[in-house]
Amino acid sequence: MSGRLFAKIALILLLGILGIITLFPIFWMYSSTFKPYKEIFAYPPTLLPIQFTLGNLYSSLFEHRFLRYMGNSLYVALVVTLVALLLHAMAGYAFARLDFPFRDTLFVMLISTLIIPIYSILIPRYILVNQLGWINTYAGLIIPAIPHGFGIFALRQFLLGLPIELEEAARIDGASRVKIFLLIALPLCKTILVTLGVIFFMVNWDAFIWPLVVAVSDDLKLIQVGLAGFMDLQTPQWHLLIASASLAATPNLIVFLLAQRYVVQGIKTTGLK
Amino acid sequence: MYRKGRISKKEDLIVGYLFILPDTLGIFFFWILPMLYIIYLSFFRWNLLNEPVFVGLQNYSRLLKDPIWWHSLGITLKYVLMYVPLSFLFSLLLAVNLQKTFKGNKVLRTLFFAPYAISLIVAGALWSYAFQPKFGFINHLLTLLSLLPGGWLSSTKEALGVIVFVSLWKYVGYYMILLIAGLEEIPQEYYESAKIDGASWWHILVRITLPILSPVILFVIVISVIHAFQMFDLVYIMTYGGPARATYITMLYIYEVAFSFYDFGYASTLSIMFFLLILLITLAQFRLGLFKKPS
Repeated sequence: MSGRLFAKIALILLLGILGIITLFPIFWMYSSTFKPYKEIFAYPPTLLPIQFTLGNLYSSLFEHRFLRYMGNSLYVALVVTLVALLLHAMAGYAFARLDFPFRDTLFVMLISTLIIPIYSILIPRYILVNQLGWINTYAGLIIPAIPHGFGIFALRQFLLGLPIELEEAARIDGASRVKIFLLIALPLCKTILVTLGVIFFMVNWDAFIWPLVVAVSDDLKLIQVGLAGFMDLQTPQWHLLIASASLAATPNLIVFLLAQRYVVQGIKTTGLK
Repeated sequence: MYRKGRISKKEDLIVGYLFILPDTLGIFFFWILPMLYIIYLSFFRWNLLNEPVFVGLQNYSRLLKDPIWWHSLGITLKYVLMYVPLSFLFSLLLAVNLQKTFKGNKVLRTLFFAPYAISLIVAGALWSYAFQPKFGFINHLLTLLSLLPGGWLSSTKEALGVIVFVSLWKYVGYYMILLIAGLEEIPQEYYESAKIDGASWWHILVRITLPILSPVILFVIVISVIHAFQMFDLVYIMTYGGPARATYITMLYIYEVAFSFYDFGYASTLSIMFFLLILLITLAQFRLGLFKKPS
């Protein structure tokens, strides 16, 4: 028995060490953010900054426009998330609760687009957006990122799982469909809306290839594209790269830590349906 | 359900169509139309500045003889074949051990899952720094352990391996969460009766856990294959295909043909063939089922 207990403790210890090793690079990134230029290249490397500086962050934010890139990313990610939640909730509600011709055919048609990987339509989508004159505009960054079958699917399934009695009662009292949607159905969907909202925000904050091709001008650069810009140089400016990487990582890490439950929930609904 | 007569039916119809209109238009315009448009584009030569020129099947025959296309496919397959088995092995090992209830298992899960919140671009940046031969901490650690330091991203032999490593770092925790979700669905009685019968842990794993888990396993493998084929961000930021095209994956080639050489017709052809290849592999995986259903 004590042998088993020992084995169990050894296993937990081993997993703990592995877990800390897994997180070490993230710690290293934050630690290096505050190291002065010389210390970045020090060998052997220092674990914590010997000399603490905010210079890298300052230079990244103000001299290299990362404040602007972060603002752009925050704006795009928030607008996409909020508009997508509203539109998907409307569509999900209509598909779950309303009765109209071709409802199920249309639903299947929209959902079948989930098998299309984004990379395979990057080029035609770019050309279409170009023809709309949306290259180098916020519209080009925001509007194509909104429509997606997954959110509609998740909201429809969630609504189908809810009891309909409350809505029926309001119906008998003479409430309109729009009123029922806004005042009864939407509040009941709070959990799934938060789950999807967290996922949408994180995905859009991390978006790279679409913003890379659609927003070329520096004023419209999103954070990930701005960060990648540092690597294009022959000799990357490591001190700025690391400080900027910390800036690009922090919002999603905060969201992740605060809403981990929802992230896990979101993965399970994406994954196991 | 809709027994309130004509008025409510009419309301349903109007509200219904209005509610689905924005998303339906959006999905049509940004998903369905591009899918059709790309087939059309693949028969043209077009740099977006001049008029498109119809070239028939020329793009397709060009692809067959294009050594860079075949080279990039070879690199992509190499990457997939390294990434998929390793990601599955590590995530299964973690899931099986962290599914058990002991104090702190939730904290441990969070530790392994946290890299998922780091974007591929950030991951690429910070690992590029860590793998720098001269001042990165990886070589420093290896030297401390009296192991040989590597050239990593500047070595044609090691660069692809580094990219596999960083992808694993980011995604293993995600697959682990999926597998744990599957494991939690297995009724505890199965394990208890197996233990009463005196089954070993290996026996339990092979005879109970894996067969019942097989749909989730199939899903995780399919997702990791798709992740691997679509990898772009890490290569873009860590090596841009180098050194000497040692990490020149197909996604990067397609990107360059379109957005560096402005050959949108040929890039469309490459996209279509690459998409069909992944589709075939995914369908084959479902067909094989990978693991037998539990009896």
